[in-house]
Amino acid sequence: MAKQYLQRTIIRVEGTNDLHTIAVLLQLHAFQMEKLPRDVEIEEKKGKAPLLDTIGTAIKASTGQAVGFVIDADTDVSATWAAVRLQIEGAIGKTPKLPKECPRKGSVIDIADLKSRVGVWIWPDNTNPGILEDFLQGLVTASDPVLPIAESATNDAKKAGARFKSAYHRKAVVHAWLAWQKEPGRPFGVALKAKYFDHNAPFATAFVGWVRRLVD
Amino acid sequence: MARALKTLHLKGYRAFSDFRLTDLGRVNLIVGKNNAGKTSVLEAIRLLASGGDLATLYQIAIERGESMALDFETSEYRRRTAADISHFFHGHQFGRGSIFEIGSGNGLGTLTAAGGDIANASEEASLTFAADPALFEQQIFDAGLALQLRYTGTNIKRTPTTVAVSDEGGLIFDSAMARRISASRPTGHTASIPTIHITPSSLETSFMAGMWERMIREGREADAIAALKILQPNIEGIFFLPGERALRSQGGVLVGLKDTKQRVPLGSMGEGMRRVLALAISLAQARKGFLLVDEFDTGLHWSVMARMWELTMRSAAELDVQVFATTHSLDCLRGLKDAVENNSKLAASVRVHKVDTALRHAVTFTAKDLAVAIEQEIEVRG
Repeated sequence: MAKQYLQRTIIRVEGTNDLHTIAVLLQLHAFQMEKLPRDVEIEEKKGKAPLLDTIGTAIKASTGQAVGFVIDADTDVSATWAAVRLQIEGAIGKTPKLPKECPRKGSVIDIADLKSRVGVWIWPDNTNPGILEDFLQGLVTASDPVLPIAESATNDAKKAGARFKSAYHRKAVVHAWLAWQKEPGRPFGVALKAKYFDHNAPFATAFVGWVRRLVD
Repeated sequence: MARALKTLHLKGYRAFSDFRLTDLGRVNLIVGKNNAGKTSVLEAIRLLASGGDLATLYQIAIERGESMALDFETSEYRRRTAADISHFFHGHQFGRGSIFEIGSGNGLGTLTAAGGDIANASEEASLTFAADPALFEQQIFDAGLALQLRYTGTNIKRTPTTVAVSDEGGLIFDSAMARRISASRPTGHTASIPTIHITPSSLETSFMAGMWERMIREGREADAIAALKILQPNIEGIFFLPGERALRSQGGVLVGLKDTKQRVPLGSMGEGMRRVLALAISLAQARKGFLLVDEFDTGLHWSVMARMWELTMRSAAELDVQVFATTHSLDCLRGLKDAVENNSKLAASVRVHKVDTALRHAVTFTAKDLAVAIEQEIEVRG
């Protein structure tokens, strides 16, 4: 439901890769979505902790805005959701609108007192642990022949002493996969635009659906 | 704080139909878009602190330029300036049934201003005044319209005041009426809370000289000098040159420094020191009361902003003053953020409140919120 008082939409994200991924995804879906009432602005912070720390203040300052936050689940979706809820409740007080578990399709709530709207999406899909790169891997078609190679090569490299942290395993796999695409080593946004990833995969349409609810 | 204002509730007052500010701190910075009502909030506090004093209401209207000329046909044709009080009321109309209310939720009381009938007023236990009784007979007051100011609060005694108002909302107030009002006050009537109000025009030396004289009479000059020392530790005295020179804008104030006999012009001590002095004197005068500063950043270079806030925060705590200031300036917010970072104990009682007539409640930011907002470039001003 379009609200008259929402003048701006801002999505706040952890970093540059998130920013470009989202920007291109929205461009690719602009044709299928009805004309958006207003542009979506995307702002990057410098990491998860800085982003989490700003949620409360950003919400307090959100009058007239629809503001969304996109955050990595990392190893624990529940803990990330709890941290986000804490920030939101710190800004607007306890509210029954925020469920105990993160909603599967991402959360969007209207805040009548502030005449604003707040949304949260936790990479990859609000349900499973992971990071942006897990989301992106979800956009690789199931029959892709290169992905299994990227996965096993990454495992082999780790066994041979490669220095990336286990927590970054998915990042390594996705970058390895990108190394073997038509134009090797393109950054995420460019790769999305070039259709290396399937922007109509369920992960993507779910995410775009969340943005739609934030904006509309 | 002896008399902390913790909550302010405005009903039907100017642009606010029903608006609250809560979680007020010792030092409060009010932000918001132009015409959001920032100045109205300061005025409401002034009115509340005065206990519904008619002179204060009149003065506020005249300062805003809300006046009208009333023509009286007497044997000598007379034109008098009246305050147009209709603008105090949400909707800019004044008549029977108009009402505004300024409440505070605690012992600081509630002020109600209502439009009524002068005939009914005498039935209540209130004091009734008209402009010069001779004028009262003029047709302009035919409608019998009256304004009643009623103030209630625990520990505070006030008598309601009713005054005749012209058909269009014109209120005449002069020194004769002021004398009649204070002569009629019953014993037990409590004095108003000290309230000092600074606007950008308070930079005038004549304004400061007047306050300085009061301070000397009250033996309080040490407070102002102590405040100035926060910024300039070697200041030992302040001297206003008498007569003409004191009233000329730049020349009239000298400062005495430690270890030297010579006195230096205030202006030579750096950018914004005049404003610093006005602020220091005002803080001292507002002891145990309120300091209201409209456009805090006026006349201040961004580089001294943090120290001005530091002066304000420290003096407010030491002298028991509750401060309300307004600003549009991002530099002003940055300065407050810096001052708060250097004074973490005092930071707990600092608040920034964003006022927005579209909302029912101000949005209140703590010192931590302010730090996040400045660092992350989140706009809090509206």
